[in-house]
Amino acid sequence: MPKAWYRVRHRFPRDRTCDSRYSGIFTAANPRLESQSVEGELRSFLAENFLLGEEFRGLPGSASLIEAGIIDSTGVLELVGWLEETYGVRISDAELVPENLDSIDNIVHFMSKKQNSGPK
Amino acid sequence: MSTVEPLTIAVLELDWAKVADEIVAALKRIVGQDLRRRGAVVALSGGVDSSLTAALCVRAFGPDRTLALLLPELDSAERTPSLSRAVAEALGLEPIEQDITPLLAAAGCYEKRDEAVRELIPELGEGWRWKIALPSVVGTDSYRLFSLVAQGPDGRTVEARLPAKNYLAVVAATNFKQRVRKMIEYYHADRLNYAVVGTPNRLEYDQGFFVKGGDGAADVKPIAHLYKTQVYRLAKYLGLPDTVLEQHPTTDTYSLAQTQEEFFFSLPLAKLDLCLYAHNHGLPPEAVSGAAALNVEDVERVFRDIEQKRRATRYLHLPPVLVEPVPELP
Repeated sequence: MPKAWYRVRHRFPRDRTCDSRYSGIFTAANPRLESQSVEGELRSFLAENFLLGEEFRGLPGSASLIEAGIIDSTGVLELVGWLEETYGVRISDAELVPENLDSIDNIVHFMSKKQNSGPK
Repeated sequence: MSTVEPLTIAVLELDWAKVADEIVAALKRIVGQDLRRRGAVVALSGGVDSSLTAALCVRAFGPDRTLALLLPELDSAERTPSLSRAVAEALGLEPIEQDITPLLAAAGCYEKRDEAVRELIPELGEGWRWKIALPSVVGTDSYRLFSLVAQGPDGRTVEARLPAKNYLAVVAATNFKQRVRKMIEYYHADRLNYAVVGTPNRLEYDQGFFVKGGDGAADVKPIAHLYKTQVYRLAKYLGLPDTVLEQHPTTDTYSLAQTQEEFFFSLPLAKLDLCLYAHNHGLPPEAVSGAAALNVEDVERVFRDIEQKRRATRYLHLPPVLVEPVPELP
């Protein structure tokens, strides 16, 4: 398993949403920090897991991850699992739509919405 | 405003006598001249694709130079061997039958697969049957994630989304089935100096519905250009038993009955045939909407799904890739 996986999970354990030590990170009080943090971790996850550690420079946040060939259907499965584990959220079937998951921007926005809507 | 000429199912109709003759002539040329082999090995699954392939091989090489194999295992449907035997008998073949369950068990196929499944459904044990399912492509733009559907001895059904790790573990373990079958096919091919004949239809070949090094491995694939509808029509023309023609395509891989539609294609195969034909011929969604009984938005979704599957399974089609060319070899 790639190192980044451990690193991210270590920093944000599964029960994080119930843990006051992490409560400041994802509050609306500092949305910039929140989105930057999620975006950075997401880019690391995608690079480590789908590009064998190669960085993807210049990929716009709005680019479709599927159309860009970065993830496929198994990749979506991995991405959803990673988001659930890392951010302690449950993503329902109804939320498995491109508007939430097809680009880095969409995922960051979606995670922000999930975090602001409280623990799942 | 321009009008779009609607597609009809008739586009898949061909001169079946001519199609059969062309495939038979190609098989003779490819196996005899290109591959320098003396006959054909075909594994029968009880389905229409392998039955048609065997029928074409018998026409090309005769029953004496066509070896039919029956390779059932623990999870094969009860009627798989009898269906396959009926086909062999109709074609004048004397098949070799080998239950591959001991080989699969020795490789850890069932054990590794069940471990991955029990992580999700711990109570799964004796008397339980299960399968992997994929939602339909129609009616939604949602990503379709695999789920595990298990049925207990009391008929109770449990469904759980499959995490990537478990999904990959189950698929990797069950792929032993196709790979062990192929190993045995090549054993007999080597023994007899025959070619191994693969059985994919166009949907399977185009969309990557095969196991690399398993059913994807073969020396020649004589019906890979035929849509599934055409496979049925040619099989009927060649007089294959009705029991085979009436079969609904299954994977015959998991203990709970599983259609190819719910495992992979996400659409009835007759509809997918029409959509793939339209997409391949550059026709707009409006042209196939009526014949496929799908609204235009759903046809657009199917077109996108076709392209997505092509991208996702491209690697399955690739031969081993060299770092530097070896120009001395063709």
